Amino acid sequence: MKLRTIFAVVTLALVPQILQAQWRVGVNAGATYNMYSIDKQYMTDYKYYGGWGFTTGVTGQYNFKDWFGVKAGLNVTQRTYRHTRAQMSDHLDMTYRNNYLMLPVTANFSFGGKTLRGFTNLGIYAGYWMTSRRSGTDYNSFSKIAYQFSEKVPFLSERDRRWDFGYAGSVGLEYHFAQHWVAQAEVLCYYSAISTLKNMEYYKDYRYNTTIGIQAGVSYKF
Amino acid sequence: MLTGCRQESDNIMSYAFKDAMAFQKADTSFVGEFEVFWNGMNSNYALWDYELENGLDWDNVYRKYYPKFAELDEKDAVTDEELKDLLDEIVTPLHDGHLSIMFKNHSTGNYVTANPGYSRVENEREEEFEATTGFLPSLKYYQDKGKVLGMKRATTNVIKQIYSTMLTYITEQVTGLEQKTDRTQDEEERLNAFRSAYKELLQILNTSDINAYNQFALRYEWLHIPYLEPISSNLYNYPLDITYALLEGNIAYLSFNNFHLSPYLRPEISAEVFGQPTGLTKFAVESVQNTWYNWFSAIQELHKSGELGGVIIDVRSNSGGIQDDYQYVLGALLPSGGHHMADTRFKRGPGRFDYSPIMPRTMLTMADEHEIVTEPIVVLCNCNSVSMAEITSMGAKVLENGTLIGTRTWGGFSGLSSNETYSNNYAGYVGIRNVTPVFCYIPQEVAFSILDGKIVEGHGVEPDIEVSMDFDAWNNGNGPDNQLDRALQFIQTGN
Repeated sequence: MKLRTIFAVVTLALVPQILQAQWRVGVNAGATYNMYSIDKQYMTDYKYYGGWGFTTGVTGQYNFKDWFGVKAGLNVTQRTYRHTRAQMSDHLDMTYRNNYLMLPVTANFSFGGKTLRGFTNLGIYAGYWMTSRRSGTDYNSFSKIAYQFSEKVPFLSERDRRWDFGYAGSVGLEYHFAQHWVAQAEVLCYYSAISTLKNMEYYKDYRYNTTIGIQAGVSYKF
Repeated sequence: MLTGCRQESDNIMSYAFKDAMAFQKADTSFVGEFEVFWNGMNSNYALWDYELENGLDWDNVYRKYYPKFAELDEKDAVTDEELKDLLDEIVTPLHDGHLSIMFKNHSTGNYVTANPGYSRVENEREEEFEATTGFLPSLKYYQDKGKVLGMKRATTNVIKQIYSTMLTYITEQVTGLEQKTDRTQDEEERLNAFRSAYKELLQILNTSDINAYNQFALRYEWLHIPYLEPISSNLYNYPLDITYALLEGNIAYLSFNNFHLSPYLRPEISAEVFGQPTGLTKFAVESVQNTWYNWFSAIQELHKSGELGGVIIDVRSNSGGIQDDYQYVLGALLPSGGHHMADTRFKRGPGRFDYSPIMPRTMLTMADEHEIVTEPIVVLCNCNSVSMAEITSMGAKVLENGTLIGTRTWGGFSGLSSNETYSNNYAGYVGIRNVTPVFCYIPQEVAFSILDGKIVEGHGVEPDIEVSMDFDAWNNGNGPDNQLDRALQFIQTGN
């Protein structure tokens, strides 16, 4: 009991000091554009297009120097792509919307004046594929019916890889518009290094997401 | 540096064409054939998630059977039986009821075929399978009992219909010429020709070889034998044996041994298939049309007058066929605009689990104005009711006024593309039949029951009322048909 009390008192005493010096926390939101990379093999009329989605989350940043810090975030990022077929362009057109919980951890480098500064983040991320939906049109060639649909894509444990890892990076500008407040705008990129498909033993089929985005946010400097 | 973190997928070949590179190894080795089969199935087969649920690991098939095919390559000679046993062992656990694979035996030059559907039904339901193979329903017993109010029957096997007339004519001619003592040279030639024609005709009847028959008809045209003329080979490509009967209680009955009605009933297809039919071909085509029309018009008239007791569609031992035929059978009794009788999901993409959304499987119903049947509709089925016969069975099950009676169907519900040389879904066929060393006939979809969401492939459609056929009592049509009796009872009593 005594030890716990001492620990609490010390923590409470130190936290404001730590926060005051180096910490900032923030929220951000923006739009993403995702590109899905797949080997189409002999299916030459398959087309994959990038798709727009959103991202929103919270960030925390600890600055060791005024130009260098470590930034971590927790956000929901939508990775969208569109799939069509040239041969059945009127009938097969579907959009996949995959929602990931992302945890980027990056080194933050900033430069410039006291009010307006540029920055860049470089690091890695871990992603967790939470949900997937697809909507659009498919074609039932037996019934000769184009089918409009919007549905949850069931997660198949034999096929889908929940976890994603890759590189994260961004460049942007921040505006220190008040003593404790910073506004930021940045262009970001998540480049996955893990296939969304699990490997089969005798057939390797790798599919990757590359997500770029533009987002804005505000942070509170302690 | 970044792109180096991403790995490249294996290359997969399209086996849809006779591509030299794709089949190079398979052209000379059994292991090459196995690789084509395994890879082709891996990217084309539509039921991998279902197979996995049922305990089949396709990777394990590779691990287990690759060495066995490698062993075949080491042998001096491989018998067809040996190869077939190995193929049967691989395909038997697969659930697709249409799946058929052919491997060329490099030792004998023969193609060896394996069908999991046959293996399954033959092994699991041996007695019923044997009894119902080639079964043709007969109404003779009911005619004898005076329970058939009207009847019409047609078969496209016209040779069997007219051979006795021809043989009688030939026999008469031979007898007449033999009785003449002073035969002219011409008569002598005719006598010899009639004698030869008699023997040849009997041989042709044994083989039912349409080409041989047509050559025979041309060779002996000068003898002016009644009905002897070439007939369209398409009568054999689209064979039919169809029976309509109006049974006691104004119950309209239709049986037919496969779904090849469209070439006879759809004018545009009919013209393409038969051209302007003449002679026996015309007779056969019109017989089918008239038989079906008698059934359809009886239903229309009786329904209009409120006298229709019900409808029985007998698809027992019906081997299936063209899916658009639905509009002439069950679809002729339902409203226009299609009948959503199941759901379906197509194979999409090269991955084992790349699938389309589950979509309604809507079958064609008659577009022309017609009466909608509200009276009881019974479909009769058995373990040899395959494909379209099963789709019709399922169609009856989902209808409010429909009932399925008999025994569980074959289990080959999923559809195939009718074009073996082209598949717009990148699924359907591997190789080209009798051309490439491997050929696989693979449905490009899998169907789901809308009643419980389950896949019926490899199991079959369960009847609402299960009745096994009593073949002893039936006695080749001389006795009662207990499955038909049950259908009549159900229609008449509602139970």
